[in-house]
Amino acid sequence: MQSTILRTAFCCSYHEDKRTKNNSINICIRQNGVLSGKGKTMKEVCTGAKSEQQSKLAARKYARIIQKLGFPAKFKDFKIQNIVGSCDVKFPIRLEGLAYSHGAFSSYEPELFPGLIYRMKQPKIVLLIFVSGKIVLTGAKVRDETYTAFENIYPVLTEFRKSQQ
Amino acid sequence: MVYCSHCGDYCPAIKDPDKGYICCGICGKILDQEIYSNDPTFTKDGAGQSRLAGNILNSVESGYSASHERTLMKGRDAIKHIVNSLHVSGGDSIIDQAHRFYQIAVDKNFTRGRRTSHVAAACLYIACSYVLGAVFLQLCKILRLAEHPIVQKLIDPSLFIHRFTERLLGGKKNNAVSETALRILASMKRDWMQTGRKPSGLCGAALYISALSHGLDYSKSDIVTVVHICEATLTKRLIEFENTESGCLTIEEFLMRADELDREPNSTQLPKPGEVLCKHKDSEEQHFAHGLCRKCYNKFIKISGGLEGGAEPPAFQRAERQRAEAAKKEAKMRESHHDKQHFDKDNNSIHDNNGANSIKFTSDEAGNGTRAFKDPENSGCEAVDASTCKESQDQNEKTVDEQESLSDIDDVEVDGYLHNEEEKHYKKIIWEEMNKEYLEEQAAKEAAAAAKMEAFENSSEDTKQRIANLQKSRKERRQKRAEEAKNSTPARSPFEATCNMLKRKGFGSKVNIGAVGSLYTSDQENLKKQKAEPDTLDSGGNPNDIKENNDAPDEGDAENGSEGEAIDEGGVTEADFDEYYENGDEDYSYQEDFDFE
Repeated sequence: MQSTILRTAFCCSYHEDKRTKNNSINICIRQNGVLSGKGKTMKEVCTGAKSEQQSKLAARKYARIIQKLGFPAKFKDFKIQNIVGSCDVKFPIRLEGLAYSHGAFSSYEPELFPGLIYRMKQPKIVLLIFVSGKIVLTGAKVRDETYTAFENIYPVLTEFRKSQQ
Repeated sequence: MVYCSHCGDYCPAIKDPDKGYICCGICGKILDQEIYSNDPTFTKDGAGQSRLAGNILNSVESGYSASHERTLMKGRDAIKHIVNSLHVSGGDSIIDQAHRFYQIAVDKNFTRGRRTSHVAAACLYIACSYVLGAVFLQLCKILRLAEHPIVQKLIDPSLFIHRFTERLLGGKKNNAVSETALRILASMKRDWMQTGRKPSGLCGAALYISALSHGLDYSKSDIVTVVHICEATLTKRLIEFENTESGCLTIEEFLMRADELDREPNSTQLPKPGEVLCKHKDSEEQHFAHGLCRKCYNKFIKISGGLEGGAEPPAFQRAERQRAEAAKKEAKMRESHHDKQHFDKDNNSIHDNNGANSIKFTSDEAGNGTRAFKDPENSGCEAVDASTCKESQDQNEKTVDEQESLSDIDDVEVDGYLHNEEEKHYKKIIWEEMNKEYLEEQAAKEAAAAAKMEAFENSSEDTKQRIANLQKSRKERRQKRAEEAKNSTPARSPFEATCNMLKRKGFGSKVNIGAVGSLYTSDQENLKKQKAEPDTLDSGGNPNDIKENNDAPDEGDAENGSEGEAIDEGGVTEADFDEYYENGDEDYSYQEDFDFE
């Protein structure tokens, strides 16, 4: 069945080696840079979209492609698995202080990675905090979790902000 | 470790896998010879197929087979090698401790896919608490040390200066050079150069400047070999230091300034009100500042240079520069596009069109830029918000009805993704060419499966039945085990841990649980005496000996179990463990009057 797909389809890059290892194909839909992967059990994963709507749209486009190839495709159970956000607080942060003060949640190993990895418990989000003030938040299932996490971390960051001269 | 009568002491045992004897690792005297053969034997079953004689559980030594011993020995050798070459103090005790961690790692299959030397080094690290790498972090998770205080320690680059100086100067110890290097490092900390960087890079730069300023002629490549960073990094750090205030001073001015700063009283701050959040939060330490007790606060200041003053960190400077450039570009855009409404119309059309014109893209960027400037705090979030609101309005009506039918998707675009006949033909050729090996493998697999099916058909009725039953039971067992593994919680006592392990390895029914329980209630003397026995184990196929044999390796598990206890749970050993590392805590503060002689 897989080989049928391969013989009939696809425009942009799709990765052959992945296919031989896990019996799945990756298709890249050009428009919004979304990458879709489909496994043997016909579960589809879609990454790279810039918003929830775009992600859903891309997934449906993909399902449509499969449909057009003659396979009985149905679009069921669309679920967002992960939302990644980034922002900038625009002041430098003393990561060492944060690591000392919130040691239970922080993991700061400058020899490995320049950023501090903060694992927030409520909501369950992982934040990467950098000395330049840029923050990356990941692990959210809904958009609001990202916002809440940022609201929670902001006072902590100001605590260890570089004081103005 | 076995007792060798020739050496008169406990020595590491070497087990020969071919001949099956055990000899002393130091003098070579043969201590024991195995009588039983380790090799598997084969018999033919009714269908004419060769099968392994006996049960599928082929290592009756319950996990401590010859290859397991070899793995552990290899790990121990690797640890020893590192200890010797790095001149780590502690000798055998450190090696033993690291080796115990290594045993646990091997039990949890941590050594698969990783180099022995890496895992050994990580175990040694935990034993000595020096930073090593990603392996260390993962190992900590496996050993459930993630919440343990030793992982939270931050490395002060000042600690490395003495070692690097010594190495650079070829064994001689130069106080002055080290002192200057430390001062330079302190200045770097105050200027926020240290946060987020590898300590060795900063040490290298500080050492380089210090050595040069004392007239010693060391090139950058000398420093690079000592400190193990690349020359580009060293150059970058030097440039960054040059850009700070202290970088412009001559060495005398710099030292004078450093002296002044040192003489200033450090704790000019009174304790501020707040909650203690550091690791001392359960003790009665008073809050000093920033959620830290006084001790932690002092450590924090020493390791990082504090929050007051200094230059901006280089990463932040870069970010500022980028923001300034973006502002300049945006101002230019505003000049060329007078009409603000024209702007918004462009923004709207971007979301509808699929094709992207390059000019339109930049105007979109600039549009986002203006929004970003208005709200510095929520820059990223805002821009995304606006665009998604627009999108959802566009597609709200469509998505609600068309859940199943998918007919709202643009067919023209979808057709563009599919190949026509000619393209299909070419693609097929290309793909088959590229994946020749895979196709061959598949063909071979199919042929093998077909042959199996044939043999299956030809065999008699009851063998078919037997094989089917066997397969079903195997599958059921596997599924049950997977479920149990998923649902199980970590064992709460060494006894539980042992039982779990036995169940996993499949000896649950063959071991006397009562005897295992009595192991953990017997006194320490008993355990220590039986420690010598695991190495002299035979691979007995005798079922009567199974119980006995299983007792001795359970000792090994008891060791592991008690080790796990020491790390995980509370108890007497936990306090000792903590104490050991608390003392190490004090050692971390570098002493001014350290005697170099």
